[in-house]
Amino acid sequence: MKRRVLIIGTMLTGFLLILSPLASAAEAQVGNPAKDFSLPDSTGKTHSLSDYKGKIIVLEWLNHGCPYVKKHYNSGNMQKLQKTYAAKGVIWFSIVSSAPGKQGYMTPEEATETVKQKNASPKAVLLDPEGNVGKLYGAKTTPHMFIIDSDGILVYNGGIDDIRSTSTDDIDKAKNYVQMALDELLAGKDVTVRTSQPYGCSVKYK
Amino acid sequence: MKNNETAVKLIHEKGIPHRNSPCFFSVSPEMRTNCLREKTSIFCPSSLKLVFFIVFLVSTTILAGCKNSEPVKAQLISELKSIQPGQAFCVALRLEMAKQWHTYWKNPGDSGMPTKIEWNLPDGFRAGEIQWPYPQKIEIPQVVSFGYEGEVFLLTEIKAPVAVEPDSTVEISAGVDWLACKEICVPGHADLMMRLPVKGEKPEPDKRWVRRLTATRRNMPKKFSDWEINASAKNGQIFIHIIPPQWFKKELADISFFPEQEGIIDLLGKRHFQSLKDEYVIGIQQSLFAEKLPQRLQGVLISKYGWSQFGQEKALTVDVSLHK
Repeated sequence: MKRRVLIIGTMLTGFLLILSPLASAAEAQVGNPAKDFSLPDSTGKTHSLSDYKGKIIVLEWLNHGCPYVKKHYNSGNMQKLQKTYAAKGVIWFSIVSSAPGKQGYMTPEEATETVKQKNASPKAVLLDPEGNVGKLYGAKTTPHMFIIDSDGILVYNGGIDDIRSTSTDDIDKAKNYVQMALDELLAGKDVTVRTSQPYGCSVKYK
Repeated sequence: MKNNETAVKLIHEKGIPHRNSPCFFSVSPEMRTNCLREKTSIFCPSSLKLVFFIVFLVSTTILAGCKNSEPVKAQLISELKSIQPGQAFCVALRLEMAKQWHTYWKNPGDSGMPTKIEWNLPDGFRAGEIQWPYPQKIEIPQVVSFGYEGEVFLLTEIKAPVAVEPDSTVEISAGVDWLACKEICVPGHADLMMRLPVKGEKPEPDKRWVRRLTATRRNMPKKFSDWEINASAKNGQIFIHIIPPQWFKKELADISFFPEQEGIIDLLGKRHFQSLKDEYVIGIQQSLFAEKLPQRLQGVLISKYGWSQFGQEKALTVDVSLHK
């Protein structure tokens, strides 16, 4: 009897394991609460997501060496979004998960200097050289955008817009999903396009 | 700046030839005599070792930079040496990637960008879509991509109009864009052109390319009607059912599915492969980015055994309804 229970139990567990979705997918699934994390910024100050409860938060995965990031920075597109929405109370974090020695990695001093050079206005550039927060969110590319609403729910996970290219000419032609989602949230509406295929260079993890 | 100039001048001294290219610099030959005359010069033995060291660093950086500036060489080639009026002929974009660099498939995967061809053809000529041989799967942390390393031939069928002038030469041009990646990514562009004579007689194949184009064709995904493929979506998973033909006596293993559509399948997720009595089933996690599933599942199934009785063709085209 015991042996039979054990065999059936094992088979059932195996069967359930086969059918259950992978745990890692739930981490960055829209509709779920965004996972809290703490990272230092380029000035040495630590920021936790939970420090910003009640705010709309944007996470922008960054690597200034990547042609796709250059598309959005050389055109001023990313800086314009940062500035416009900062003025509306949105907290915007640029996050660098490049490992030391890999493209996109910046020392705290380099990160501070680059913000000035690029005339960017994120709340802070968060440094994640171990790649832990990148992997927590499943950040695949630079740029890869995540938006968290004021209730702490992940409401957008995907690309910055819908034209997968390195050409600045495509910026005005594209649907900017970040802009769309933020405008909807600020108007008290639900986000209509909650995901899109992120595009860019792969994040240069350790 | 001065140190740079003098270091550059020594590159020539060391026997690296001068060329009209950003990688190489022109030099004056008097440098060597300076050390004998002016002992305080940097070319004197005591500081020469330091200077040679700087030169070594500078030259390796410059040469490394030069190599990286050309990770991909592109070329247009024709299967046939001439074209006939009214006939379709095959043209290939040959891409040669430097070691460890890759370019992308029509679905690049989690990152990257597919190669694009914009044809500029004479009046009446029509080009078809790119025919993509099956790619390799490239896996790095958090990212799965599909692409090509080494060399690839992307085929396109072009049709000549009936009205093309016999005994003339036509120019086939294309603007090509690609993304080449190794550790980092470099977008590339080439404006390519080739000339082909128009002749009334049956064209001869260009022997230089026969072997490689034959191999490319073997790697083109095809439909194999004796295999039955079905697809369904349930509980956040996509299931691909494979029913083998009667003649298949082996045990299927090592099957890969490369989706043509992005954002349907979680490329990172594990695949569950089941061998059942009458069929095989591959279970794949749906993509996080799949808000709405499409009507059809399209992609390529790759089997190491091959799908035809002679085993050579490893890529099967999947284009089936996605039952929900």
